[in-house]
Amino acid sequence: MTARDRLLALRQEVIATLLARALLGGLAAGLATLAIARAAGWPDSTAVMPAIAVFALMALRTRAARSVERVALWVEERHPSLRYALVTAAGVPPSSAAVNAQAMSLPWRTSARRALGRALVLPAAALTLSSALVVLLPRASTGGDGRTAGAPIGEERGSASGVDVLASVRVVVEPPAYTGRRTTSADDPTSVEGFTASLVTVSGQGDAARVGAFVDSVARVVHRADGRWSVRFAMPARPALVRLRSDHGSRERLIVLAPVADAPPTVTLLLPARDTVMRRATGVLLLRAQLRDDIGLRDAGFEVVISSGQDENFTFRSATIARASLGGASERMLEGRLSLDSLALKPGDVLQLRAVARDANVATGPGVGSSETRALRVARAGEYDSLSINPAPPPEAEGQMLSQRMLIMLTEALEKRRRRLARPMLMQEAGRIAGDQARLRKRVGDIVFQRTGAEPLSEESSGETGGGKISPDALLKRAEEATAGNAGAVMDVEGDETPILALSKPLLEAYNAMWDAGRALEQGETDRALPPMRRALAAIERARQAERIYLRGRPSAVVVDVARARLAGKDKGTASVREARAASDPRARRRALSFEHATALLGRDPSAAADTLLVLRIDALDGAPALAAALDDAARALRRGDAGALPAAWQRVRRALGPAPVHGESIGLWSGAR
Amino acid sequence: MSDFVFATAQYESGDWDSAPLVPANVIDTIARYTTIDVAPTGVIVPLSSPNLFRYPLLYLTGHLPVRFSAAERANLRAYGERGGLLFVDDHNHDVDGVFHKSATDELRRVYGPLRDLPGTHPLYRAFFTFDDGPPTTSHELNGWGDNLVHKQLQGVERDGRLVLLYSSKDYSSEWNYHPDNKRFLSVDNTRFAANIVVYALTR
Repeated sequence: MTARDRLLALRQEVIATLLARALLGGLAAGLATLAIARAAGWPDSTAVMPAIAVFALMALRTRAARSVERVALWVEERHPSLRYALVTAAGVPPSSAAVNAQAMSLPWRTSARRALGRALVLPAAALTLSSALVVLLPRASTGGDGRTAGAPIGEERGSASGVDVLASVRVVVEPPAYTGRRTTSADDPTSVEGFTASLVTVSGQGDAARVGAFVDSVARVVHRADGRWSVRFAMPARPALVRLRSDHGSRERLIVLAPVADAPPTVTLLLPARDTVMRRATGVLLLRAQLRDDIGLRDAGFEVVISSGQDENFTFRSATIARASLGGASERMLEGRLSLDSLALKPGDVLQLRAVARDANVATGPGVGSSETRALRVARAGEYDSLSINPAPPPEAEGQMLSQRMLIMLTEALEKRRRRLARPMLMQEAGRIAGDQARLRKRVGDIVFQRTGAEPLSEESSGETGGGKISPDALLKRAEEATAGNAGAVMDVEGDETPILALSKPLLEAYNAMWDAGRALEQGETDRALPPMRRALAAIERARQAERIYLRGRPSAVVVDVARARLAGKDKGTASVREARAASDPRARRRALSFEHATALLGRDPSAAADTLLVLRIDALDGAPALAAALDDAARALRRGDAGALPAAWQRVRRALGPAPVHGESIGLWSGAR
Repeated sequence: MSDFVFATAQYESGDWDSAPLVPANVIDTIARYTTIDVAPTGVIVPLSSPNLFRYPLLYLTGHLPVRFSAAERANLRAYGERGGLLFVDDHNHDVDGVFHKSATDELRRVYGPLRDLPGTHPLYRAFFTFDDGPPTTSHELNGWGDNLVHKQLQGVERDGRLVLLYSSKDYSSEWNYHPDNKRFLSVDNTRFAANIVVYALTR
């Protein structure tokens, strides 16, 4: 066999080795991509292209063996002592015997085969490593080739061993004993409801070793019994997610735990019906409250707190009275009596009372409910004027108004009988009314002149005899004399009038009108007396309204001179960076974004979309029951693969999310029709 | 209308108006140390009133038992959710007193459990820096009330922001003087009020 024949055989071996190397490299690349794809939840077909690409690239190396001369040169590289004898022997026409002998002088074929074998080690190692990756890396939660296209998620293909331990899951909920409710169960639920602290058992067919269970990311022990696996835990107080995994995480199921809280009792205080201020705290106070609970009431009572003292010094006493054991009733009326005498309340003391009930919740409670609080205060000595305790006589102006109105009515009655009455009788009755009118006029005059500080008028006083009527100027003059003021000097005036005149003018007008009325009545001319009497009544009414001044109320607030105080402080602070406040309802915004994410997943990976909805439901259960229900419906529809029900369920979720849809990105600028 | 109006909460039970000079003093402090446009007088807002939502900071104090009505409770809950900060101070400075017991009970029902605020809380650096947490009050140091110096304030946070600040330190007594009398103090004891206001306005 000549050197050329051996080179031709070696060339075949080189080509075969390069192709084998390319195949191993392609397989390694494909398997590595497959491992990554499964971990990321991508389809397995993702691995095909990298495998082909790597194979093609490596197969290009076979070009190195396209001629015998190149193979000879490759050998000569490893054996320089051949001194191109092998290349010459490989040439055409055939070389001489001497060249052939020189080319055959070294065992180059053996070393070349060894080199070719070494070239396969690296790709073989890569293939081994990538195969290990495929086995060891966990498969993504759902999706991928684990489920046939379009099939419901519950019908996913089995695990590597051919049995899907999560194919059928049963959930049993045992409510706490105090509730008296029955145990419930459900098969393959997406969501489980139950009272907080209920015992939840999740179970399925298969080997417990292949199942992992997590409640809110906390691992739970999986038990084994009769070829079934089971997980037991208490229903948490807040919504939570149960995550079931099988076969190293290659298969996963989510179940939402929706706890039902045992509501605290509802307590309504019926008696006493309202807050009260008492002058003396004596007698017996009837107490009555209505109690209700969704499960059952345990006990109830009336809480009493008595505060004594004022300003900075307060003492307190508290007690619970009329305590009653209710034995699990769901509705009851609580009654009691409180002896105020026994409390020895002093002026200024405040008695606060409310009804309090506890339910029979021994698992997470007891829940405590309380009624509105009633405050009963014992009035202090100095605040009696603010209490309507005894009927008081009408105020001065009211009394005059009543009197004047009465005189008008008497005069009107006399006017009606005037034609039928004899003159002496008419004069007698008119004179009686005139006397009353004069007395009323005198009282009005007293008020006017008390304000000016002058001596009250009397029928005998000079004020009356000086012509009867009093002009405003005369009144002002008397006021000046009384106050030793300066007439016409600057006073605290409103408009053009002095305060004294402003307040007294209506009464002065009434005074003068009464004078006219009295004079007419003394002459028996009732028809002429009535107009001034009515003017007097109207004037008194104006005075009454003008004088309705209330001085009680809050003390005026201190007004800070901000401009004077501005930056007058000795110390200097550092203004913090102003941060934008979150949107008014950041939770709603987060929910909307999460739902948009689920919508985006819908076409690509329905199972992931269903999982997103279930996770969103956990959040919605806390304060958005309508949204939580809609999300549950949508997740169920997805799980069933019910394409018909899905649009309606999706629409319900959108409606429940709120009136303001949120989009993640703005619409691009309009570029016009082209 | 000014940027900031100091609001005092008026509730049905108890003595909500037990510290009438605190608002003026806080307003003076805001003007004295900051450039915040502050109204020269405070306002009094019933807890059950929707006007509550006009004010980002609400001050509540008293000595007597606090029992919120259902309307007050609902309004306060919404106030916290919408970004308001309720500052509650125990005027009794007594953790065994009825104000503390009843107020914390009511606040727990509205906001959830109260937690101690660490000395590193941003509140203590919102304007002035208080390295040791909340400043002590003379009433604490004098041993009034519960005879304790409370190291920490309590609070409830939502989304990284305080919605309730509860104090047993009796700032209501400490700050209940006419602002004109600040000139007699070597160290202004109302500086912490600036932190509370600035925190409420910037968080």
